[in-house]
Amino acid sequence: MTPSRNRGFVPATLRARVTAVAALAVLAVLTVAGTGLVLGQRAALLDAVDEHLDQQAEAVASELEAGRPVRGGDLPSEDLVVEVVAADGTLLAASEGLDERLPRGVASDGEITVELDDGEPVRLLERDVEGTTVLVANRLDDLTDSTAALAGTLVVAVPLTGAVLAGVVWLAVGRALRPVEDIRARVDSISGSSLHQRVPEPDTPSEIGRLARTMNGMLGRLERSAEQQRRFVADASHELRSPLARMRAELEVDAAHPASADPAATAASVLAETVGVQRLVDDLLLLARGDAGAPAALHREPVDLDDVVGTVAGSLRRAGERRIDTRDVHPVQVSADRPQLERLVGNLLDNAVRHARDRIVVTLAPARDGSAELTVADDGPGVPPAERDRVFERFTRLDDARSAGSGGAGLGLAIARDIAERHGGTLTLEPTDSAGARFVFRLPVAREGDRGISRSGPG
Amino acid sequence: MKLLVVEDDAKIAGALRRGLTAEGFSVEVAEDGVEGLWRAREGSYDLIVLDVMLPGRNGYRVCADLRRAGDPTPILMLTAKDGDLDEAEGLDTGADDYLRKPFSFPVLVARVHALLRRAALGEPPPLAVGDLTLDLRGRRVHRSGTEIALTAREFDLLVYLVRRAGSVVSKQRILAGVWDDEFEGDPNVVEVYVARLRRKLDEPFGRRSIETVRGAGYRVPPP
Repeated sequence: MTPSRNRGFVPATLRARVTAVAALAVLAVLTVAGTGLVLGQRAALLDAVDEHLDQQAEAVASELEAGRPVRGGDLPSEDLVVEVVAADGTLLAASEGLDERLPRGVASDGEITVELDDGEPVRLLERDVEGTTVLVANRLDDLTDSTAALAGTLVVAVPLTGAVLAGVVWLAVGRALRPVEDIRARVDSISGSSLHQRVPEPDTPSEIGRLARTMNGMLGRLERSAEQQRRFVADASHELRSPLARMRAELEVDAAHPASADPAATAASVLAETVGVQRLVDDLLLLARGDAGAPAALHREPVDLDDVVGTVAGSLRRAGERRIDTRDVHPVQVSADRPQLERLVGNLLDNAVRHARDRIVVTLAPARDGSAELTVADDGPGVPPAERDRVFERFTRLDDARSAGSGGAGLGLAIARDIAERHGGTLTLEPTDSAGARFVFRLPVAREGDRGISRSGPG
Repeated sequence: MKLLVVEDDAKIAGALRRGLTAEGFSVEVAEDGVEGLWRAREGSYDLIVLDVMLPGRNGYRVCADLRRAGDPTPILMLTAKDGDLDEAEGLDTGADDYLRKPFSFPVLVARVHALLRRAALGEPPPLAVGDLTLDLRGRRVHRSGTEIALTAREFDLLVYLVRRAGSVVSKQRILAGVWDDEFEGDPNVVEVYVARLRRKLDEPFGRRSIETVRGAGYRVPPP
């Protein structure tokens, strides 16, 4: 179960949260709208009453102005009542049924609402006509009743709407989110050993469908990289097991038959194997670091690539290798990690030395696009076009029959390409007119001023 | 010559004792950092071989403590981890050199001899022509207090010319003296490198410290 992170009144699940937010929002909107509706209706009804009062006042006033006496029987009764009062306060006429005096002197500026002695609210208007006061009033109980009826309807309808909407949202969100729970449960069950599993993909093009497809893409990449890792470890173990087996055999035979043992020869052989194992382990570590994406290990500085080639070729020549031709190596400066460049050039030349018949031609010059271009070409058997990318894979030996004695573990070119790419360059095997393999390493040259002069004090 | 080996792996310590004794050194072994620091302070050694991964007190701290106490004994660090940070850290705490495990014994012996030689000679004085100073050990160049970054070969060429300040040096001699003796490239490489040196050393400062002697070679004017 998902751990509950319920803090205060915030609902824990997305479903509850969405439902609560939707219901609250709708309730708020409907409440405001309903209140507005009730108030608006009341205002409109009051306007109508006021107009009625005004007309009635006007009618009585025009009678008085014409000098006709106003009698109580002529005046309207029931809801609307009229009272005519003389200046000295004597009641001149009143509607029938009006059994109390309307308050004077409060409504001379316009209509106001007052309560009569019996507690009934009325709308009251007062008008002066040549010293005589006309008071017109209208009972408001009808108006109050109709407003209350509307409010009563709304008080029931608004919460009901909110509840229905909450129910619909609850169901819809639950339905929409069901695939998420399925995906979660599946991801939960996928372990390192079951990376072939995939999460269920809903048919809809919704966000959740996209999420599921993205997740499956990621699972695919994870599976491939785990598979690569597994193959790499298996290959590495095999490469390490072979020298260990040879050393163990030699040492055990010597121990079992000391009389026939040649300690010096065994020591020399074991030492050579140990050096090979160490080189392999170093290579593996280097590749592993590259895989972990540790660009911090790259210490770029201005480096003379021609000098790197000269150094590597020189040490091979000192070891007795006479086939390397570097006459076409011209000065080119690059910004790079020098030990790594030496490794790259060394691996390329090692590979060439292993395959060349009688000539290895190294060239270096600035290319037209402003990069440094280093080529290492040998006149060996070459590489079939179909295998041109495979030679850069780890543990690839094109000639499978060849023993470890004549070559490395098949990591040299993989490492060389790794280094090239880490420097932002490329290492490719390019077709040649003649026989043999031709490797091309391209690297952007150092820009003028790349750490050319750094300002700092001496020491 | 008396050496102190601080190493907790008994097999490596034993092999080093045997091998270095056979090379003619007198060797003492300390098995952890605390004992190593104590021995280094009490005894008098010509050189200390110091492992980084030690029980008690790690090699960096032993080294830093010795240097803080003003002990100048040359220290060769043995690092087990493969990483540049590790090595830089070792040198930062005052080690004179480092060697990554697993190491080759002949290489270790060569490094020990080199360190002892350097200690015997003391610091080489910096080379200087005018306001140009060359720090040979740090391989750094300054002109009027401004450091100038040179590549390895540019530095070697400059040292070669400055050492012969006042005399004309031909391209062939430069190639033979500065480049690999197995150099089989374009001989015009010297011109390119001299041009680069001028661009870095002279142009920004308005100087002319490498003269071309037509038909003969190059010359740095005497100080």
